[in-house]
Parts: sequence; C-alpha cells; structure tokens
Amino acid sequence: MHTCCFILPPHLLRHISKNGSPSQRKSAIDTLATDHTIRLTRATYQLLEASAHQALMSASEIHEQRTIFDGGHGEALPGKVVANETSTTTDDQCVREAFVGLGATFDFYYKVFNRNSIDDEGLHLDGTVHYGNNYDNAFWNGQQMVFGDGDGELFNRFTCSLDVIGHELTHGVTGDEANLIYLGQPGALNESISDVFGSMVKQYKLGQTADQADWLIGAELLASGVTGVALRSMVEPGSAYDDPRLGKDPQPADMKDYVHTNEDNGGVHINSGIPNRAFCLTALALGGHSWDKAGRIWYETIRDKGLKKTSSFRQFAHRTVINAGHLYGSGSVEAKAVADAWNQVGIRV
Amino acid sequence: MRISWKESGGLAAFPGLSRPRTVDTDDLGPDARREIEDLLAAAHFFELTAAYNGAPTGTRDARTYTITVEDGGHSHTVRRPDPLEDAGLAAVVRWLRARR
Repeated sequence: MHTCCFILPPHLLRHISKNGSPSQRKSAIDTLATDHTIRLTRATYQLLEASAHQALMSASEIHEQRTIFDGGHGEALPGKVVANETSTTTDDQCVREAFVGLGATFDFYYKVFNRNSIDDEGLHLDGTVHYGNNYDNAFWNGQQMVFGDGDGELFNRFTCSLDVIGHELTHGVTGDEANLIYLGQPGALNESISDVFGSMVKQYKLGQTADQADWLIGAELLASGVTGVALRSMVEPGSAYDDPRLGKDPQPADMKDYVHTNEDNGGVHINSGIPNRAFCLTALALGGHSWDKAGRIWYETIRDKGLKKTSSFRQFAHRTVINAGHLYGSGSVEAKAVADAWNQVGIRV
Repeated sequence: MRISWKESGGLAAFPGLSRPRTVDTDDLGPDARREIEDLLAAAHFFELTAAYNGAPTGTRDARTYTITVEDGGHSHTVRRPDPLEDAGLAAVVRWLRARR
C-alpha cells in the first residue's frame, strides 16, 4: 500500500487518508508526510497533523454522538436533554425511537459508504422530540432533527418511522455535498435523495433486498382510519393515499405528468416521485441489496463535483449514468440499468 | 373579524391539508371568539412584519403558515415558517390548527 500511495496524486492520498481502511489511512498519511510540498511549510504540516489525528482514528473510535432533547410541547429549540451516549435510560417511547433511529442512520452511512456522520467529520446528531402541540410534521432545521407527536387522528408520532429519520438526516448530507437548491427540479431531487437514502436506511436495518423492500416512505405514520398506506410510494408514485381529509397523493410517476405549481417550493415533495421511481427501477433491475450498487451510484453522484446545485432531473440522470460508468464500466450492466430506469420515467439520457 | 389562513410544505404535500381556510369570528361562540381575539392581541398581530424571504438556510420539510386578519377595514398578512420563534404567533397557529 505504501508504494502504491507514493505514485498517487496528493488529492487521492488525502481522500484515502479520510476514507480508506485504518491501514490504508496510515500509509496515505505517512506518504503525505514525506511529500516535498508538505515539508516546505510548517503551517501545512500542522494542518496535516490535525487531519491525521482524525484519519488515524480506528474504526472502534468512530461512533455516533447522539443527543435527544424534549421540546416539552413548545416551539423553542432544542429543549431539555433527555438522552445521550452516556445516559440512555428512558421510558419515553419517542426518545427511544429517535435515539435508535439516529444511530441506525449513522450506522448505514458509516458501514456502507464509510461516511463519518452527516458531514463526514463526525457531526453530532441532535433531535428534539415532543415539538409543538400534536404537531403533524418532522423537519430538519439545518442543524438538527425535529419531531412532532402527531395528532393521533391523521398522523402517529413522527419518531416511529425509520425511513423518515433517514430522510431528514439525509437532508443534512445533501446540504454538505451537492447542496441542491430547494426549489423546482433541484428541490425535487433534494427531496428524492432523502427518500432514496431514507428507504435504504430502513432496508439496511431490516436486511432486505430490493425486491423485499416496500419502497414506502412513512408507512407507520398514517393513523388508523386514514385511507392510505404511507406518505409516498417510490415504486408506484401517486398511490400512497386517497383520503377525504388528506386528499389524493399528487405524485407523478413519469415526466409526462410533471406537476407545474408554485406550491410546495415548486412541487419539491410532488415531482420527487419521478426520480424516486428511477432509483427504485434501477435497484430492482440490479437485484440484491439496493445499497450495494444503485445506492453506491447515487451516493457518488451527490458527491460528484460535476453535479450543480441547480441541476435538472436530466442533468442529475446524466451524472448517475456517468458515475455508474466510473464504478462499473461505461458499457456495464449497471450503467445500462441506470439509463433504462431514467428512460422508463420519461427522461432520456 | 375575518381570519384566513393556509399552511403549506411539510414532510409531504397533502392537498387536503394545504387548502385555504377562513374563520369569521361572528360565527363563533362568545368564548371562542374572545379566545382568538385575545390571542391575536397578545401576539400584536397587526404590528408583526409581513415580510418573509424564504425558510432559514438549510431548513427542509418545515411548514409555512400564511395568516390574514381583516378587521374594521384593516387587513394584515403574516407569513412564517416553522419553527415559530414568536410565542404569541405560535399560540395563534395552535388555535387555528386545532380548528382544521
């Protein structure tokens, strides 16, 4: 590995020093440390020391740092600390679910993509439960998760859905990487990426293959008496609910049904059905665990510097095909499956 | 007094929950009428800024509330996203949401 590292350019060495196995990281850092340019300046060396400290952390030292707060049914954030890594004893079901859900999401990103938390630098994961009074929502405020209890008539407590927890935390990942603007098509891609990775968090936890997954978002959230199965269906967008109080699921499954609207930031939670289905079709075509190939292709795409924050569906689709080519070969079964999936939802790549 | 309000956004786009709604206080019982009038007064509703330039940076899936109050020839509209930092306005929203 050491010899190999020596012929690699510095940017690859830095990548390995952050993302390689423990032995690879040490070799990369040793190599960087002997590099001529690094010996030139004390300042650079000090920077390297700082990053080396993190990079040399063994796998056992990298783990999640979770804190759950109780909002006390008010709107002020974050609220009172009720659980963290050293104090997890609680009778509160919402606290337990939030704590476990944050951990499951951390596990997924770390074990599958070697990503150390939302920012890949060990960001602490915070969540507030019991936000508001019968509050029917969960959101990411740019720094932490916020969960409502639901009103019990339309929605159950928002901590009970693991894919929703994965969805919200993935907004943090997207903000740290592609940072797609939250409007129109890039906004719908932002939403879709959260659904894609949120669903994979659940599938990973359950050990499901793509054909075993339900591909539903928030299947646990709709209260009994609501006519519906979830907030969204990735495999069949537009079919999740049709209820007198909630209305009918407005998600399109194909570009020909794209919804032009000023509501919902230009339909970010509506048109996300199209890229959601493209991912689902890719994962089902490739078989096995969705995170092994389809998930890897999507993950590399959101980290792709060629992906602009204003990307359209077509531009994003194009980058997924390119990344599938980088990972598996441009004429590979995987690259073809990705292109076929986009074509099936009406996006030519 | 006529109160119109609408909420949009959130974790999912539910057409049934984003419909505009209206409450005319003349149609309310005396207790409910006094309750919402007191909440609006406590929130200093007519003094709140109307301007809203989008959700805070990085906020995703938050709801946005648009409230218009017409009273005695005056009309004022306020638009705010979650989390509602103004406790008085949060109390008004709680009252309106309870009547959804």
